[in-house]
Amino acid sequence: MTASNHSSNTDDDVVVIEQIVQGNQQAFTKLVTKYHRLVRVIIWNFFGKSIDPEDIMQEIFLQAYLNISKLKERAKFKSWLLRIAYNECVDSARKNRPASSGFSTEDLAEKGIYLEDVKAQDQFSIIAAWNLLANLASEDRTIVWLKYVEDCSYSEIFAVTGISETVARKKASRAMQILRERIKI
Amino acid sequence: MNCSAVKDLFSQHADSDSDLTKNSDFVRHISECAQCRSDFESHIKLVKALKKGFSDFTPWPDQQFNFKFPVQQNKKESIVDVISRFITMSWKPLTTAAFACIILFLFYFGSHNTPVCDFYLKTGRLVDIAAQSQAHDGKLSSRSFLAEVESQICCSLSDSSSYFQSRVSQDSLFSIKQNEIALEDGMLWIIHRDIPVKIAIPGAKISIIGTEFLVVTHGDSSLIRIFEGKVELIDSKKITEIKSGENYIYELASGTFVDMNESLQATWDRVIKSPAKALKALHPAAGHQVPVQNQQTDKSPDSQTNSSLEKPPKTFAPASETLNKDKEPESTLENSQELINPVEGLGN
Repeated sequence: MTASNHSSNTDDDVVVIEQIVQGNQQAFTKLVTKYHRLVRVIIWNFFGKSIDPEDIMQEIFLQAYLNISKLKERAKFKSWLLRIAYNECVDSARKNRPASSGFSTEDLAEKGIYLEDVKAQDQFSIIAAWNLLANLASEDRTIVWLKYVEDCSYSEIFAVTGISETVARKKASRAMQILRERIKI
Repeated sequence: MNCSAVKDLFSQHADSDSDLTKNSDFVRHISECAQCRSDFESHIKLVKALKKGFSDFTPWPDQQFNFKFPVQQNKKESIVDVISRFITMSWKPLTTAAFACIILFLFYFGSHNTPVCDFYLKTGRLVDIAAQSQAHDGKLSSRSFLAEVESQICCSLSDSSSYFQSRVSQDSLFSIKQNEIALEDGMLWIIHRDIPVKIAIPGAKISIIGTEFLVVTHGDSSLIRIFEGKVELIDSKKITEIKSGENYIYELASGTFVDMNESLQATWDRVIKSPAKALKALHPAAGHQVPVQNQQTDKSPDSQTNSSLEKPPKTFAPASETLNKDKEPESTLENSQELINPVEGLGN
């Protein structure tokens, strides 16, 4: 994501949040549409396909909706929302569910042909990579995803997970090293 | 720099705030150590593959998510919510049943003790629209009225324990119902104590407790301005709390609020001076058409004189004495007509 795109996106968020605070509550649906995929990804990294995400997504966006007027740094809405999602997943995992592996070949079969394309182009099995990731803690998996799939900086990862930049670097480095060794690229 | 330290640096690859290619130690080691070079190339491949394979991946792609807005907003947890929360906890059924009995008991006696308010015309002149005749002083029945001049309406409970007073501006159209004043067009100024009266405006009702506020309604727009305390605006979708100092136009069509930067005193002065002009300007963007009735009956010097209201009964406690001092008119008058401070006569 380029700096100008990022700035434009956060500017858009600031405008929408201002509309919501001024009373246009329906404007919140714009933020739901924009960020629901990322919220799903956070949930998926914790629980995989083992749950129905509807309730937990409603809870996450409801918390965001009810507290949005208290958000001081509106340009950082994305990190703030993902922090809510991350905390909700941690709480939910603690209360209701044992730690889930999150991933399975069944999950990844949805990507089917496309994954095979990736495999052919990059000469390694990404399915094997994610099977390996399944053995990581959900925390490590979330860090790898945010860093290498969503292009988040370590400071953003800290904002979302509360894991310090130094520790997050170590975790990401260790996870990627394990992956490299396992799949033997 | 040894191999272990170099591998630790891989995590900085693709960082926006650090560029490994500018790290001379790293570059030198990579160029000299075949194993680390191979590992770094593998790392880059892996990063690219992860990005390519999953950047557009949406979990549960077949499940649409529609956010459900909460029914009530900005509303403090009510006693019903608290009791509901207790009931959903793991209480024994007997305790739950006891709660239910208490609630039924309170509801039964509460509903039988709901006080009925009687409305009275205190000063001014009202036309009973259905009867096409002037309403006399005394109790106002459930009918629609047009204020010929600025008038004062009071409401009291049967035991006279509490009441409110209100002023309606000239040409205001409103109706009296049980425990409710429905303002259809015009301006209403309320000084209110603990009495179960609601003010209805097009599309919503205002629930009020111990407050002082001003409502102006024209068409589908209503201006609500609170002097002190707070009110709850209830429409079909939600309950919204409006606090002292906030100044809104409520739009029936959109169900939203538009902030209006004008003082309450300025609004009152403007409407009193020229109802037609003021109501037209109520919603500048929409440019409402002004009713003929208002255009023809701008306030005359005579009606100004007649509209001086009586002092309220002794039992009435003014919302704020300082209000009279603090809310001096902000607008300067172009003519010599003396405008009435709406609080005057209601307070003290």
